[in-house]
Amino acid sequence: MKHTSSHGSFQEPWWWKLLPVASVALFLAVWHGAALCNPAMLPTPVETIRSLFDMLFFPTTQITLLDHVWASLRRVLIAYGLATLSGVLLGVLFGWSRNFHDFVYPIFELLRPIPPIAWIPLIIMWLGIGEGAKIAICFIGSFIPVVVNTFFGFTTLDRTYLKAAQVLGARQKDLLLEVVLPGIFPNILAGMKVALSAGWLCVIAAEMIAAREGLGYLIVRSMESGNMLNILVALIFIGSISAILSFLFSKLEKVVCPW
Amino acid sequence: MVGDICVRGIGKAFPAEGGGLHPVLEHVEFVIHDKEFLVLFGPSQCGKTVLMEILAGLTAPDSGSIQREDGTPLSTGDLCMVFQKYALFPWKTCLENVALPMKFRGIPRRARQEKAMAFLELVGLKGFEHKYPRHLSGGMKQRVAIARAYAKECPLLLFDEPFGALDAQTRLQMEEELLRIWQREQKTVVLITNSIDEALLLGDRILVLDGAPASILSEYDLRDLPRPRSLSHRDILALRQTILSNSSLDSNRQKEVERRG
Repeated sequence: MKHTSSHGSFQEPWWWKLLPVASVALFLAVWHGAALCNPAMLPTPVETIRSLFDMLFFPTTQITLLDHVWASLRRVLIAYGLATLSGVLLGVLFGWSRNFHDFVYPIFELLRPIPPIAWIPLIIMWLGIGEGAKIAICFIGSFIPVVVNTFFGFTTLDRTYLKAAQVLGARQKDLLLEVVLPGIFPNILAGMKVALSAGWLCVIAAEMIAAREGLGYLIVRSMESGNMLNILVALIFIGSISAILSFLFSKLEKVVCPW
Repeated sequence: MVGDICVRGIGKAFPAEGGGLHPVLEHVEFVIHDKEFLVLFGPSQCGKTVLMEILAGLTAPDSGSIQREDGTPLSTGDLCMVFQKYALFPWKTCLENVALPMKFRGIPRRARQEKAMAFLELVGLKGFEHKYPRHLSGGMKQRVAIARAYAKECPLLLFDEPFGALDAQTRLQMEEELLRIWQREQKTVVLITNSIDEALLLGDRILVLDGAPASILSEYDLRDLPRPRSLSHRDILALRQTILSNSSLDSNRQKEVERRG
């Protein structure tokens, strides 16, 4: 009976809110301990944070940390925008036209399982090592989840909605704009969310192979010069930017999808 | 104007599991009189919904025809349908849901919203126009669906077990509400139900649909019984008894039980 309360609201213990703080503190403590045990292999958290501030204000590999961040982010956002537009279009075509689906879907199914990273060598041979190549790789990574989720929305859309719209007098155009697109909108958003993190992963990978700026490039350059601190700083940024993007996306989802 | 509607020789079969055809409707024939409240009464799974979708033009029959008084085929434009599961669009507010059929007809925004407000008032939902369907109870959702059907401003309304998902109390209330609106708006209504009480309370005529494949087994005329009706009225009780014993419902059930046992 100690753990159940049959009446009234369930009271949260006061220490619940502290759990996330405690977990981060524990993580830092373990990190610090490990760094003390073997200073050659791992810098301490304090050193890493100090290095982070240095890199923010003084150039590393010719440009500052924020320039690297912006270089990666810019590539992702361009590729992501293109991937969302074309991915939704292809997904809707798959769902809307039986013929188009039967004709094109087999090709899509063959190409879909190839990891975006495996395209990198071919893309570099085609497009060189300019911006185009990085954006293309990132595009492949984001495009696929958008298509898959958009089309999945079609297969799960309640047919009653279509029937109801038909008896209310909807034409084909009305069905698409008033019923199908809003009906699969949550699926499109889910695809866009996956695509955002997929694009972010791909850009880092692409930059590690061929780039002169960006977080992926920073990691590889730091490895070549044996600068572990810079690698750790880059990792922190990769993780936190991805987390911030997901967070912003969830907020946006609530605004554009209020039902 | 649509006038009386002739439903002639409707048959429909679906592919059965393991090949072959499974007939659902066979030679279904009846007339829907202008401005009457017609109830199609039958047990669940007897093919009522298929018949409704054929009437609505959502499913093509294998045989038979549905014609208006002037001999032209009935079209989806003449009618609207209310579904058991409401089929409100969750991404639209109540007002937008009700205004939708008018949007499809190309009525300007301001005009259709004013009209939609009037229809929401008709079903007693003033003040809920900007709520999304998920904020409403089942009864309220069905009211919005009824308002939306009326907003299409067509002469024939089809109701596919509209109150089947509601609790008994709400159901009774909604039935009275529907009668009130029907008496005021002067439309032809076809309602299908598996509740004999609902059929007796609402119908001008009751058609019993049953059998496998299903057809119209019998017809009862209730136009002489005054409204509002009470289920405890002597004539209603007698008719209830007649319908239940005459229709094959009871004996069919019995056979079903014996077969399973």
